[in-house]
Amino acid sequence: MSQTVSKRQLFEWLAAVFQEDATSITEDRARETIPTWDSMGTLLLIAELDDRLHVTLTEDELKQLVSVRDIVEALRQKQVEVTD
Amino acid sequence: MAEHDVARMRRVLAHFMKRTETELEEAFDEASLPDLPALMALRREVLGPELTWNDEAYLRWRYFARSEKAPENHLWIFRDRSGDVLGCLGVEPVELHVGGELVPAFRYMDVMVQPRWHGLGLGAWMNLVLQRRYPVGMVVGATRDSYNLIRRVFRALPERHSWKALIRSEDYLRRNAPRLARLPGVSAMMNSALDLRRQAFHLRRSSRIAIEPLATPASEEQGIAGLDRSMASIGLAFERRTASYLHWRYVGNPRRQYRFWAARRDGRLRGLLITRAVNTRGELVDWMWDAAAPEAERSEMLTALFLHGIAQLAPEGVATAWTRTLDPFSERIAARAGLRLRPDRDTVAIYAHSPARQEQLASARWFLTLGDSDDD
Repeated sequence: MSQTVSKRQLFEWLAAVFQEDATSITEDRARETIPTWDSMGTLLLIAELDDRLHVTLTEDELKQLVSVRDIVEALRQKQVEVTD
Repeated sequence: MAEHDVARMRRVLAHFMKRTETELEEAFDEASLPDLPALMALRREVLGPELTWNDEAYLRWRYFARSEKAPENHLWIFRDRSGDVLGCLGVEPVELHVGGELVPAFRYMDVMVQPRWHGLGLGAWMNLVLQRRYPVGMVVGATRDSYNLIRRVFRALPERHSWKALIRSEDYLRRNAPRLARLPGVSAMMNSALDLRRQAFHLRRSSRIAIEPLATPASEEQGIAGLDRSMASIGLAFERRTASYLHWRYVGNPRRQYRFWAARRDGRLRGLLITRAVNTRGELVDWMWDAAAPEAERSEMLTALFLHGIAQLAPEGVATAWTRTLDPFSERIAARAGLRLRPDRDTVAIYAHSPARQEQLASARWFLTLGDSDDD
């Protein structure tokens, strides 16, 4: 069964993972501007996506993630509908 | 860090490593001598093939030589099923002077992860596992990739400052004033001016301060114990230094060569400076001073030591002298000795299982030097 999540909800989850203010997570936000998106942040991100959406990314897919937009695209590739 | 988050990280890492969570825990264990080839392979991959030291000798000295003079260091490694070492993390037992007590702690060092596994949390995981094992820990010089670790698992201390002094002008002129650099005599004149500046302080300083080289700190057991006690007595927090430890750490170290300078007044040891040259960079690695002496006296003594150490680095072919500081007194001395404050900082962090101890460590007045890093 495919999952659906709004961007607003997704960005709130990301804000919690990265311990950032929810309003600061936007699709344009680059990984390098989020200090808490380091290797520990990556593990916690994966855990969150698994817990919330039952999505697992491979190492190669993870290494491609350099922005919030990439996370949105990666979820869409996994048949998760990310709505505006 | 919340246990819930640790459990989630364990689950995800086990998935990436294609292990069960139990297998993940069991794959992280203390290294022993038979692991040396696999360890050296990991270090070659991370540090590059062109090491300037004998890495086997370094690992044996740091982690596997057991003698009464050597601290009981441990190296933890994460193995894959084939026996390759994918990550490692070393710990050294230290004693911290804090609030009139000596607190046993562990200094984390030599953290490494195989490049293929960079960015996937293995380093953070190793830190978390050891944090459960060792009640008090300290990590110095964290990287950008350990931001979360420092902020969520450890407590960050004030950042260490970086200082630099020019010893030889040739490289500086080539980079910043290439036309000037090509004029005959300009760099020689600038070098003379730099030397004169240092000499000027020596001419003004008290003739009662004598600075001499030491072959080893081991010859100054009582003196170093006295300096250590005096620094602790003024409420500084720092790693306890003993003559035998400094001898093991800096004389026995197969990776680098160190020089030792003693400052005496009225025949008594009043200060100690340890320096090294790493390629064209001279470093003031560690120092101690008689904190019981009057301010003017200890300031003059330590400044003289710094200047002497820098001057003695010049014949070793270094172009600059560097150091790191984290206490106001040392920073005043660095400035007096002609070192310039640089914009780069690095992070030092601590943790303790006891919240009261962690708070005590986090709010202490720390004295930290380059010697507290693990790049020796």
